[in-house]
Amino acid sequence: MANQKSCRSRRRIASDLPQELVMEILVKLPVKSLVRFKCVSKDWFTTISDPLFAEAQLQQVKPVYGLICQQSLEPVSYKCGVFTLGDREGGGDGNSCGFWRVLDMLAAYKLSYCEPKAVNGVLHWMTYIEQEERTEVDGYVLLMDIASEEFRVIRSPVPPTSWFFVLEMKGSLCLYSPVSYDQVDLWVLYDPVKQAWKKQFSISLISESRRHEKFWFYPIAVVENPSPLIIFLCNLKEELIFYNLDTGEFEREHKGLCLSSMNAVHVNSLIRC
Amino acid sequence: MSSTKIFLKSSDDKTFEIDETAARASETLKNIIDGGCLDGVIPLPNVSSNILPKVIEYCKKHGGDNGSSKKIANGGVDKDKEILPDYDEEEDKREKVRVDELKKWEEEYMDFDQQVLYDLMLAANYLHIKGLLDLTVEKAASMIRGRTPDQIRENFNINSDFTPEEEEEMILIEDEWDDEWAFD
Repeated sequence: MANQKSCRSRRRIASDLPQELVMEILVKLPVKSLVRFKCVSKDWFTTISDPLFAEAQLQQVKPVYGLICQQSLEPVSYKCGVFTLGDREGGGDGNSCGFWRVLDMLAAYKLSYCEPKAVNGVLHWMTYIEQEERTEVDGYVLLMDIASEEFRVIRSPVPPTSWFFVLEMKGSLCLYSPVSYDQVDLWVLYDPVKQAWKKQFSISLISESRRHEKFWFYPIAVVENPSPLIIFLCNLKEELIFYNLDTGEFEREHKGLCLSSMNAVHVNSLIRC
Repeated sequence: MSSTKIFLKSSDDKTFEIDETAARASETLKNIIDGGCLDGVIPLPNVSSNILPKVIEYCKKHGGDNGSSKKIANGGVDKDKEILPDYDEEEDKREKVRVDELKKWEEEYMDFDQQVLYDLMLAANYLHIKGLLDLTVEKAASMIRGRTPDQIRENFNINSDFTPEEEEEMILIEDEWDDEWAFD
């Protein structure tokens, strides 16, 4: 009962606030609290559900987010999650704490070591399934729609090798598939719905392999400048190599080429609720 | 100019003195001063005598500045500083000290109970002191973020106008959302 008095005095004070100040406070709240406060009253429900309010709330949030897919082998487990740094939801000043939100992932698929590639709002990983009774493995591309957070897989046109890479070419997914030490096929997914692939290029790496005998290099992007180029990064030498898909030749340098890194950004907001 | 005194009268008829430079931290007071209505006392019918000294304390700290931490705490310490060019490292250090000092000051300044918090927020709103309004709003938000809907209704004196069924449904939606974010 001792609480009652303090409740009563509290009741008096905050209720004196004009609507505009209540809004100022609400807009500073994390999404988690706002979802909970929707049931306070119809007024609050309307306010918090208002797209304009969601916009205003989003302006306040400045967390750093990342998407991480992770698998561990002992014991075998798979986790794909949204990693959050400095999120106000987390409490504290959030400077160094991170949070996992685990997404449903298709657990049977193993991720290959190449980085995911974002094409048209969809992240792509190379994956494969190991069949116990068979020696060969089936290759797949794992897709995650960043907006809906839904996963699906499509079959790769060829069995996977450890030197598989996914790239983007003219808005389509492109599979960099080595067939031998110095021969690579480029498969383009020209119809994602029908899962139709087409082998668009076949590249010989012989000249470059000789030149970089003790180094290895891997593709990082396909750009047009204006002819289509595969950009390779030569590890250790920290050197970029360009392969001109039109002429079929390697080139040392390309002036005026602007490279920028690509990030997929996810922000926790009311807009998706 | 900095020594010009302004007199403020609280809602309960008590008079307080403040330097003009400090008073300029408030947009409302600044407009009154610039409007030339300085003869006598400025009445503040919305601010009581237990809140006004607190407001004045804030204005003194932020006098002549509109909330940007850059200029804060510049007063008196090293006025020659602006003449010195490009001593970036030193300047950075001093800036850091200033910001740290200000944070510590704000922490001590904001140490009061809820009653004062909401009254101070209202005063800051009325007097258009943006920095103080932001401080109080942030604090209020941090205080209520973990509360239950019931506690919020109590706090803001709101009666739930949902039917029990509707409320049940809302809680289900919230639970779903919570499950989805279970790793927060």
